[in-house]
Amino acid sequence: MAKTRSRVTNTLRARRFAHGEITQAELARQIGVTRQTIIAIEQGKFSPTLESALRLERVFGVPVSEIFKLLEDLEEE
Amino acid sequence: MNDLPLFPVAFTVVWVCAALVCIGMIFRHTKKAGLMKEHAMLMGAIALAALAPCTALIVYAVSGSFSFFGVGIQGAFAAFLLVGAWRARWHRQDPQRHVSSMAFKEKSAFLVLLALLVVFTGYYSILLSAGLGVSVGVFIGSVVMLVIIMIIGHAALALFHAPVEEVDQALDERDVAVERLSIRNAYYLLLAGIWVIPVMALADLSGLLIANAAFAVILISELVYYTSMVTYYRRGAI
Repeated sequence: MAKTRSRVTNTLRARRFAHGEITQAELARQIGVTRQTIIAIEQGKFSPTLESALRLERVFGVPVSEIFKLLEDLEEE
Repeated sequence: MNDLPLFPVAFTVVWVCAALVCIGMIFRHTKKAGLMKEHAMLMGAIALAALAPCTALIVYAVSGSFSFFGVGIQGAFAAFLLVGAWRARWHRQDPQRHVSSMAFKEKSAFLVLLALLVVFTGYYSILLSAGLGVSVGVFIGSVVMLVIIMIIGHAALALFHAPVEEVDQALDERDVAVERLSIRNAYYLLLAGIWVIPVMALADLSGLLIANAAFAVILISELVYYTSMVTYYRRGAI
């Protein structure tokens, strides 16, 4: 089975550190997912649901489009 | 009933008294510090270790010879609990550093996959060498062995997983996605494989053969399900 990589990239790790070095466990608790899911999102192995993305937006106080970006958009830039 | 030799009895009495003193000391300590997971495990380990020579004495009284089988099992469980207590203390002292990188459900899927492979490879190997006549007995034995492996394996996984709260955590969106994709893969195989049964029935083959073939199809689907789970957890499930 080929390694599954998302066509979406994210700045979650950087945002965590910018947001008072919040831990993966703490972020997971605030979003309502497991710590391993936050790790998988950061590694690009899992794309969160819209609900979780909106919760991330609320935690970091920035729009979803600032946290997640389509790779094709980055390539165009 | 056989007469008990003096030295083992004296040793057991001293051993049990020492264990009770240790448990009492830990219990006193928990009154100040509060009962933690590590204390409960440590007391469990000491209690099991204290019971082990008692078991050996009971076996001696009944059979007239020392059998260390039961003692060995109790000792192994005591060692498990001891390591679990040490692991719990380790995690409590530095919760940020000592956390398991794999999800508990991922470890569980690994365990079930390995257990199914080992137990039912053994089952079909025995059938191939001894014939279908032994199917029912060997099948029951295999299921019992599978259940034992699952119980002991999951207890061990839970003991060594940190933080322990993750063990009974509800499924989240990633777990559901992994499960959905894994069920899809297993379902295709089950749907294709199930056609073996009517074909074998039409060919007038024996009931035991058809039952074993049907079980093989279910087993292979289960193996695909758990292999998919492990793979999606490792490689990603988008």
